[in-house]
Amino acid sequence: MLENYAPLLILLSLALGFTVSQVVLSEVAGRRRKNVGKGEAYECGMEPVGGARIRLSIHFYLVAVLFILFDVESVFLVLWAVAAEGFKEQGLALFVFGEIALFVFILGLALAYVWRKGGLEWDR
Amino acid sequence: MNPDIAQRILSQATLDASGPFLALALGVLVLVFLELLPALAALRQIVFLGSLAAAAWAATRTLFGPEIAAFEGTYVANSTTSWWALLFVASALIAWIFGRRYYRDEARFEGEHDILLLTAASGMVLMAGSRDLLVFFVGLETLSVPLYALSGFRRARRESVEAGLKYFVLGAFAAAIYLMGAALLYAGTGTIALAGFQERSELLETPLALTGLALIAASLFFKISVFPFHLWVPDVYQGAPSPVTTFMATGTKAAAFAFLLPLSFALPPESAGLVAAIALITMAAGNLGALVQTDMKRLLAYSGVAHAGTMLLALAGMHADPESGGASQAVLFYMAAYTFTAGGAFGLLTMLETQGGRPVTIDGLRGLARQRPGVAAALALFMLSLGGIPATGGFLGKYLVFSVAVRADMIAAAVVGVLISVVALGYYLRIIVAMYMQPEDATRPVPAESRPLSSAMALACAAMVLVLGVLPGWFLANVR
Repeated sequence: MLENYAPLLILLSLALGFTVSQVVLSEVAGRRRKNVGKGEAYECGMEPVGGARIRLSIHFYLVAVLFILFDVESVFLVLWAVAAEGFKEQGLALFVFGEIALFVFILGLALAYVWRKGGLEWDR
Repeated sequence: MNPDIAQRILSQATLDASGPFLALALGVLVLVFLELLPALAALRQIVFLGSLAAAAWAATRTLFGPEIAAFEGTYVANSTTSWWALLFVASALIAWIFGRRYYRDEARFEGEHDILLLTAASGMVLMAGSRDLLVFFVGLETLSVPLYALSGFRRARRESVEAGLKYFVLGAFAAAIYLMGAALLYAGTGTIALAGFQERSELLETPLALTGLALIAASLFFKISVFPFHLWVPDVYQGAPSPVTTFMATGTKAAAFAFLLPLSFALPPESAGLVAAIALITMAAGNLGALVQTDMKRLLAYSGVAHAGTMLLALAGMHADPESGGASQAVLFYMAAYTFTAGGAFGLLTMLETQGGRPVTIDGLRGLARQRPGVAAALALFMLSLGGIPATGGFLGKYLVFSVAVRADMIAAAVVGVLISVVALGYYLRIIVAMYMQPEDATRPVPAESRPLSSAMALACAAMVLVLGVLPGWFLANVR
């Protein structure tokens, strides 16, 4: 029972070892060039200090919507892949493949539409 | 896993049951494809109308047959759902025809407009046929999300953007409340299928399930615009582009009612009085609100709230006495009459707004009978039908609804309801007075542009209102 967790333990130790080694290595061997930007807390490219009500480019909105759309698609694909095994054993491989192919085709059509309308271009 | 699942999913019965939905969904896909190829833009209208026609044809195939269950019983097609589907097709057609040439700045997005309209219609069909809380939710979102976008479609106009944002924020809340209710109901009963609720009806009495039902009812009441969830209606109806308002006023309400009817058995019997009270307050709120309006779209929005309250009274009657029957027929007939009446009225307002270039007010209608007798006559007929004057479909709808309440021994509620309905004549007649008995505004130019398609549609709506009012026998015999 417990040995089933061995891969997890290995992964954990690898992750820990890698992180700690990187931090220590850069501390020991890294060069230091100080500037203003480096001194600030990292906040995904935004100003960490100041009002929260800043204007963002509307472009981000479209990108975010499209990202979520195709992000959710990949979630469905994973679920399908898991369920497809059972169908394959019953000789329904073609059927389940057809189903997911239709799904991907519809999403592909949406992508083509977005592309055609210039939704993927940042500066329009 | 069941080996014959593929056979069951791909069976003829499934195809028959989901035919109307498939026709609309396929239409959406083809329309999106056409957007990729500007050379084929001319085919757009053919595809749109073809898709609606195919959906109507598929719905008539199940109109008189027995109930067909599909997708493990989560979706059904029977006579009632087929009538609803036909109604949604009519609603989309009315909105679309009156919406031709309405958009000027946004004309280049008309392809998207049609795609969203057709998507919303497919969502309505899904809502009416669903017998499962999650399938209904998919339909609800398929309907709502396109409508959020359509409400804000005239993005250069502040009112339209405001309507879109308001509808979106409140609609998202309603969706979240619905999901919370579905989750609680599942926690309380262990099922999300309507058939499952029927089997485990004793579990519906638990506090957990009751809370879930209340939340679901609240979100459905939001969609059908019932007090106290009706405050978004005037703002959104007024601000949204007029063709979209036409579609929203007729279709959305019908779709939510189509699911509320089969679901309502799950509500506890004691709630009948509460539902009746909500119905009466909604009628009062709608009619009193409409009395003081000057903008026509806003006035009709409040009037729509009052009509939703009237239909809810049939639901309360069905609830008080499940044996009395006729509630489904009453709501379906009422909604059919309302679709053609309000569809025609909003449609004519769309036409006048397109030609006049500004929103239509009651004052703006003064003297219309002399300038455009046909339009004024049709609008007057629609107002009389909304007010429930005999010989119109609106009267018979009201009669059926109130008789359900009377049969269920809710005589007091029915009497109060009739009295509140009389108030409504105050503003419907004001419009007729403005059109027929007041002098025209000399500064207002008379538009000369002729609109054969819109005129034909208005004529068809008027004819349907009269047929439903004068010769309802066939419908009453076949609509269940």
